[in-house]
Amino acid sequence: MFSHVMLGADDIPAAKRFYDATITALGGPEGTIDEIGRLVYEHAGSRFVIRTPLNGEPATGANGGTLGFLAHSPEEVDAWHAAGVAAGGTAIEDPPGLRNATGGRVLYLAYLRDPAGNKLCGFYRVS
Amino acid sequence: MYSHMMVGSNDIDRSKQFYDATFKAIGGREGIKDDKGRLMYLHNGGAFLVTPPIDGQPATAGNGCTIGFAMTPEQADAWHKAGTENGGTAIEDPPGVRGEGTPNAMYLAYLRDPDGNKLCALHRIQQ
Repeated sequence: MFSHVMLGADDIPAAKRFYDATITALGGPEGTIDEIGRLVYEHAGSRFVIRTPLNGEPATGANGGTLGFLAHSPEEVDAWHAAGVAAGGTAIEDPPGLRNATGGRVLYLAYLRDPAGNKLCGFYRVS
Repeated sequence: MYSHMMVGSNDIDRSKQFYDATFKAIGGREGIKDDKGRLMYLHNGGAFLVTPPIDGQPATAGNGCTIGFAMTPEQADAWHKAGTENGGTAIEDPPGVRGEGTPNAMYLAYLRDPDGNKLCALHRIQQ
């Protein structure tokens, strides 16, 4: 469904420290800075880009917005969360753990805000 | 890389009109409303959700945030038209080719949803 997602950040080195730690915890690569200063991650056929906003105003997280990153086990969700907290992110919502979701699904979820305030979810479907 | 993407809405029925129209324009289906009043769109292996913010504050778009959907050029045109006719706003350049003749050539279209979330339709043109 998604070709790419772009999130705003005013401090690209802080974003790189955070996303290098969290994306590698999920088996992905470290990011690279492209020729126009954008931080880019390519993994599993998807693209993730962090850049300073085009309108010159401060980057802000969307209220109501969440970007979910796919983990391969509950342990990987825990590792993603710990890596994020250690690399400048903020733990939010309930601690990492099991949730009973709609449709009878059981999920293992964790939540973080990145250094710019974007809300993220580490996601693993147990059943 | 992504499990899901969620955006905030200040009027779920208004959002449903927009997202039903834009997803159906690209061969997708209407959204399903869950027991928390959130809309879910499942398409091409991904999940896109629309929700009232859980903090009771107005939904806002993240500054610097863009969500990109993979489409063909024909789908991108249909998606853009359906969006502008159902409460969305055309932004950036009109749908079309960017970087023609270069390795990064793409067909792109942009919209804001009724709550201001910035969306992109992207097709990578193979050389």
